[in-house]
Amino acid sequence: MKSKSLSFYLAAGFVLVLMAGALFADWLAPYPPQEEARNHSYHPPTPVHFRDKEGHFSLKPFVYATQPSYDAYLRRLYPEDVSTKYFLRFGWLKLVSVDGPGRFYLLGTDSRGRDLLSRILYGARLSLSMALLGAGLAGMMGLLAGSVSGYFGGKVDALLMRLAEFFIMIPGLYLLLALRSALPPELGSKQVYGLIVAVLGLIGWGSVARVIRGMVFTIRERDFILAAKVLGRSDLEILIRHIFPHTLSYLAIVISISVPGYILGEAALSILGLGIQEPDVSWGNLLTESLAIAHLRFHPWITAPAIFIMATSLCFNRLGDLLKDQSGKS
Amino acid sequence: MKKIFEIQKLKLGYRIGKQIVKAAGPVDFDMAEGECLGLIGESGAGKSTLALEILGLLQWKGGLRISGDLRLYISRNEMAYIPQDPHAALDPLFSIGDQLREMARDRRRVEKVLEKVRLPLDKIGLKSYPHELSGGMKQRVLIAMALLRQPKLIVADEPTSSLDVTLQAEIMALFREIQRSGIAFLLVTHQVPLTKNFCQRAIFMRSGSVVEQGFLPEVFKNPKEAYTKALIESVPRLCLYP
Repeated sequence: MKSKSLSFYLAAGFVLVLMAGALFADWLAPYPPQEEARNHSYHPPTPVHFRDKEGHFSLKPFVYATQPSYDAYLRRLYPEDVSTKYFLRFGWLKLVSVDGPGRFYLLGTDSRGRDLLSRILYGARLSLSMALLGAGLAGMMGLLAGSVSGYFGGKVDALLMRLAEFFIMIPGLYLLLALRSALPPELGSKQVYGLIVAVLGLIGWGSVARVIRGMVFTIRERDFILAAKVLGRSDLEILIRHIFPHTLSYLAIVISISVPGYILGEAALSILGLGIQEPDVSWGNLLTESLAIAHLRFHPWITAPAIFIMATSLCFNRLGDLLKDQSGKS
Repeated sequence: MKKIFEIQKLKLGYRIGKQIVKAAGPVDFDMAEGECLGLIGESGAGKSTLALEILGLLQWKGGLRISGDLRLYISRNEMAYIPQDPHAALDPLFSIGDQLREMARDRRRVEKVLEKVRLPLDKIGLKSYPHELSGGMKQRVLIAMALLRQPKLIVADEPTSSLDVTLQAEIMALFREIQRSGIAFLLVTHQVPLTKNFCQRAIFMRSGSVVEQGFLPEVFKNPKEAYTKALIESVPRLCLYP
């Protein structure tokens, strides 16, 4: 029980921190996401020091400036120039900054010398919001269709459920690929964002609706619904006041569990070049660079977005599982 | 006495696939204002179907009127319903206060009715949820909700079947008090002893049809039909009101 609640708090904490990170990216990110430092291409994560080469300890963390050089195999190296210390400054306008030529790359840089941490924070805005909106849209559509279907039954039920089954049958990724190829390639990131959210929502509602319908079948037969009917409450009032609230715990679980699928969907599309495109940043298009084996071998920090995707997916799954256990108990 | 409703050759049923299965009828009876009528019969006799039709909910529950007539002399807004299972009859997600407020916004009226059903506010906080109350308390809340509608007729469908004997006696005593204030009761039950000391008239049903009807205590003392006699004799005698 204790380990369960600990894992719940850890998962919820990580998700909340990530959401706060995305929300306050302007303050948290050391650099703007598009700021390039071409002479710092594939810069490894900057070591933060508290002790200088003479062994003097400093309470204020500092970094050294780096100058690119090449080894015998023409591989880029960034040896530290230890002659000058550049102290990290913590402020209200920017959480961390450092005076030039010192640079602070906590997770390294990409091929164009852009800070990966900053890009991950800004990318979280798009990827998380897209996944939450997609899952939320599917959840709301599923709630509406499932409730109406289960409450009214008969022909309405048959019609809505056949429609749900039709959408369940459609393989989501292929639908997105087909739609993306059918639409003009110069589609802006905003349009692509809207398209992905709409399609993810459209193909996700069917399975939610089927379960909600089953729940509503049972709720509808409960005496308090009959009592509400005797009171002369309209069907809409009963649906809103007595049916929807009983399905909300399931909806929370479904949304939590389906968010990782939507994050991965966006990542898959962006990797294939069909999702969010440069200069906008999402976790998916950040991973595009990791596709080359050479980068994995020589610049492993470039896979940092994958770790964020994995951790976020795990946390949302864990949250969903724990919510499911909790709702089963109550 | 003025009639509340009148039923003539009423036949009710449910649609199963393309077939219509008869559940009750043909039934003929009426009910007067302030009267207490017991609708008695074993499970499946068609009592609840009849009660649902009187409340105007049979169609919503998937049933239909096959033939016959039901004439109402009061509005359905003047009817209240007390369901069978108090544990399922209150929405578990809403506090008692919220559910009572759905019936009446006036807090004083709510307090007055809660006192009438002997459920004072200090005993049951309005913020408490149904799962925090005992079965008897829940049933009293349901009775309070019914009274807040200021009904002329209360339809109670097996209102005590999920309560223990002591609570049954308390609830029936409360019903008697309410009935004395002029509210008519249609008590749907399979528990014959409950009707014996409570109802003025009883209708015995079997397989959807009325087997016998009459005033109490005559119908209990001299049942004409063998089925009625068997039903009366088949249950242990309880003396609820000594």
